[in-house]
Amino acid sequence: MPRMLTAIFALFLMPATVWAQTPPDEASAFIEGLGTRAVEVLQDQTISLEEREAKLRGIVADSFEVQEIGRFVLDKAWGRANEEERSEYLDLFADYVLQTYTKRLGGYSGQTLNIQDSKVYRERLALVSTSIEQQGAEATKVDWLVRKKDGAIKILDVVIDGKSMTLTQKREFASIIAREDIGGLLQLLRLKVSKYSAQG
Amino acid sequence: MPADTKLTHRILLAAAFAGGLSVANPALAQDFSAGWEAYQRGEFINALNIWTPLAEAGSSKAMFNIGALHDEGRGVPVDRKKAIEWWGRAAEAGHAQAMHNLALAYIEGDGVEQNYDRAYGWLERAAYHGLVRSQYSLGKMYEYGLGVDTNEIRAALWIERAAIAGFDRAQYNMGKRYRDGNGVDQSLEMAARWFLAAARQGYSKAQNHIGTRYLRGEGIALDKIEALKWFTLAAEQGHSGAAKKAEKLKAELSAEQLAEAVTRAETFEPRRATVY
Repeated sequence: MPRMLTAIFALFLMPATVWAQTPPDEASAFIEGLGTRAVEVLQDQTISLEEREAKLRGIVADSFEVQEIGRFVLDKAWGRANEEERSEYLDLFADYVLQTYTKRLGGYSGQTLNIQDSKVYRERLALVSTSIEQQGAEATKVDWLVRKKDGAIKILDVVIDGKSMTLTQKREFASIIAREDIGGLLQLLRLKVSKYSAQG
Repeated sequence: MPADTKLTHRILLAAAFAGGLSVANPALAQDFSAGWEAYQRGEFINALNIWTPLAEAGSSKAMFNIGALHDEGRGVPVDRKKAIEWWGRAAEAGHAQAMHNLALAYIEGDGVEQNYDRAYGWLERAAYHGLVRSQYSLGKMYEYGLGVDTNEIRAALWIERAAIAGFDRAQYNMGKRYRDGNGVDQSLEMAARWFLAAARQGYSKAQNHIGTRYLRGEGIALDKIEALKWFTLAAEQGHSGAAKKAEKLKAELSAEQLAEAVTRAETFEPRRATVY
């Protein structure tokens, strides 16, 4: 995992913006708070699943550095894309990521999130290690890469059982771009976010 | 089996294959609703168990929903192959949303071999069923030449269908097409009308564009108060370009004009809008 994350850290550390260190205790409190807020929303049976997931989407949007992750994931294709394509890509990527995480979390059925460790990583970032546990099932190890910038902590990557979601996304997009260029990726994202869920 | 019973049986089967079983049969419709209520409570396995016999009996709505459960990993592990199998059955039974999702699966090549011809075929069928997302996607396939030859006129025709039906992104796209004469005859007036329709529905990019049209009097009567209103609304949704334009424009307006723009922005409520 360290080698995998190094590539991500290198990118997120590059911008000239000055930001503070990310204290591990604040980072773990942030992740714990995120889990608590998510569970509160998901357990609210007074509103429909769509409404619960819409609320959750807001929480996810506030917690992730979506635009920055989007640029990182596009890699070199970002430089080749024109203004129009960049703008549409960032919109679609945000929709896609928020939808993906929301649907995954929306399937909540009594899991608990336990903080196991939180440490400084590469001076300015923090890595919070957690375990998502559910009765009768094997625990899932989830690491959260977070950064404090302008006083706010945001998530840069989620590593599930050693697999970085950001890098997985980057690889997937790279193969689409190699085949279809940016137009193909935009079309795929357009379709992904337009996919229909279960209907009543 | 008596002749009238045979006939009833055949009608029921026909209804099932047309995807209408859950509607045609009140008992099954009730079961379907019980599955939906379980789904809403987050009891996905329960919903799956209720919908499976309905799907086996021919309900395309149940088939589609089971596909979605497998696709999203709700109550079951993510299984694209199973999702595609169920959507395939629902699509064959005439379920438009299943056609759309199936088309996406063929474009992605995840869980099924990538096949643009099949993707196009399903997307076109869904589009003819009136699904605006499919109409818009077909237009984009023609725009980028994905699985078809690039054809801006066909692209504009499909996107315009979605726009007329009220899809804000398609309306915004038509605004740009009329502005640039891309697949349609250039018309700044039509561009402004489409941007305005999408803006009224709350689409931030269109709000930014219509703000610019009002500021320049391009295709629409010059109106700086309206321009500031739309820039403000777009900026509130995080559009950084609109925020900069709003700041610049504020310096040109009187206190009364500023107050009027603020009032209009504050009282704005997104609503369904179209051009025709």
